[in-house]
Amino acid sequence: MKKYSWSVIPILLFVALFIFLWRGLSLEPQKLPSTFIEKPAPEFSLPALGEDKVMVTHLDLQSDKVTLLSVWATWCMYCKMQHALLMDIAASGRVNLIGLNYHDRMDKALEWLADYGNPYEKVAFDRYGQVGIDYGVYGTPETFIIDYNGVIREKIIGPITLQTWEEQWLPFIERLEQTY
Amino acid sequence: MVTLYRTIRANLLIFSLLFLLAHVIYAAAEEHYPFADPADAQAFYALLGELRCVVCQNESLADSQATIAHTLREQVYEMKQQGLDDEAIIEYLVIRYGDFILFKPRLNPKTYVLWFGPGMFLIIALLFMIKTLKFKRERQ
Repeated sequence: MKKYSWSVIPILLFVALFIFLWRGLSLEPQKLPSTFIEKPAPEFSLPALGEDKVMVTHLDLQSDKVTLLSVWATWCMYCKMQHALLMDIAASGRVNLIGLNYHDRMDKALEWLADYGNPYEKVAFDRYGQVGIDYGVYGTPETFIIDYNGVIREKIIGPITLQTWEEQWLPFIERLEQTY
Repeated sequence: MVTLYRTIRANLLIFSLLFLLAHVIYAAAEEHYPFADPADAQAFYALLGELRCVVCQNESLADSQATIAHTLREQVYEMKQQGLDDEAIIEYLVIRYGDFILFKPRLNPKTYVLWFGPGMFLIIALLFMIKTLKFKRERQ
């Protein structure tokens, strides 16, 4: 009997290792969770895109609606892909939609908004991506969901699609709305 | 046995030297980061080699061509020029990008399994081996 109790240990270890490695197969290491979840949105102050002497700051991320801070750039193909959806989201009036134009040129960014429409309440112009670094941005598009207190609650990595919006993010925003 | 050991050791040494060399040449060739003291430059590239590029995750900040890696290199360079030490620079990056940016994970409760797991496995395996051998010898 004693013999059996010993020989079962390696099998258990093997099973444990197998489960770990199996789970590892479905991890997505290219999606890094934000380190700012449940933390106040970092302070910043940037010129507003296309407006003289107007600044956009972290205070603009706090409103009586849930805020979406959308990090975008004209060189970003997936940003173009989700733009129409952002227009629809803006039209619904449900959220306070702020843009962060990241690592871009002002003339190109303005041209883009003129061509495809401007869904944003305000757009901060982050020429050298400095505020992007402060927010831990490593790609575009990234979208921060910020609650009424200016606290970051979630970061959406990659483009929002109609499906993920309806199934995941809109319900998430609804839950935030209900807690206040 | 001794010759084998020596050969392996010599090969490892050559590999590590080539690896280090590749790092320095690659990053230095692409961009210009002037330092007054060559030792500072070396420290700069050594630090970049320890930091992971968050987009192309198997490359370090020293080798990566990604825009974000370029931006972060400039940031690290500026902080070095301001006289900040490695500890402060690493902390700055970890606050923003998380522990993932470090190739060598820091020791904290979340990484205990990572650091000590292999050792534990080895000990368990050895115990099991001893037990099995003893059992066999007793039977003989």
